[in-house]
Amino acid sequence: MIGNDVVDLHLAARESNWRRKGFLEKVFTTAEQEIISTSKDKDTTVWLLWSMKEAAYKAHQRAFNLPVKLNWLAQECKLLTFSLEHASGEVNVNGNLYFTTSKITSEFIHTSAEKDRSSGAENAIFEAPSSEAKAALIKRVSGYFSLEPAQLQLEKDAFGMPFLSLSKTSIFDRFSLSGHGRFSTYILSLINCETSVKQY
Amino acid sequence: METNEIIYCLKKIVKPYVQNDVAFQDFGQGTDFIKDLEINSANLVDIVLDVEDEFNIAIDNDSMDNMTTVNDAVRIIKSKQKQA
Repeated sequence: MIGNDVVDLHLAARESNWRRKGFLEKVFTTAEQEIISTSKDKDTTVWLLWSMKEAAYKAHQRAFNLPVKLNWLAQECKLLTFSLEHASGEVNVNGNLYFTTSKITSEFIHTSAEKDRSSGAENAIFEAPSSEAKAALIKRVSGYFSLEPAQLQLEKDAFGMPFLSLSKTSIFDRFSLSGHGRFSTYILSLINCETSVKQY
Repeated sequence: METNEIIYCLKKIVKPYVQNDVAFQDFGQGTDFIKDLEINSANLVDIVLDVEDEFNIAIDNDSMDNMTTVNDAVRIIKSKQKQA
């Protein structure tokens, strides 16, 4: 399963003060706090690790059908590579490992997480409201299944996880949406999707 | 502390982080911080910290896990105040 998360770095700087007392302790393990305190660019490192946790938990939520939880400490991040524009890592969520890839710019950090490295995930990042990412997702999926975009409805399950439905039947949920500030994104995987569609 | 009093305090705490003002007008026990108020997840950390400060309690990780609605927050605050 896959998940993704985007952080608008300017909005994060305005709206979230991670330096406030207790913030880091609620979100990051001792090992992660060590990565942050020894990094040259602490703001980027905080939001990179944050987006890794969020993306991995979304993938985990999808895989196990779980509600939203405020359990950032249960997602343990390990950075494998971290350069100016990219990072890769692993996030352990209750013994389940998710692989992450992050794109870093001066404006945003986007992380995609996948359980299986060969999920063939496609990412799309828009500097636009979430309606644009949603429309692009629907266009991509409907095209793949030879449907008209208008035939697909974007819905949410009881836990707030989105899925696409055709004639009120869920046909596709291997995607994740994210939005923050100026940015909206999606990740989707269309690999080995044929079987799930033939039945409709 | 009475439930109504706790809800009144929570409303003040949550206000600066709310993204959906229409849903905020109906703020009550059933309000969901994420689904209804569309609060950014990083601000949920702020809400937990603000609640700790305001009510002078410590919210452990297991309790924090489930603090996604006003109802959850009220339940957690009451149980922590009892322990104090």
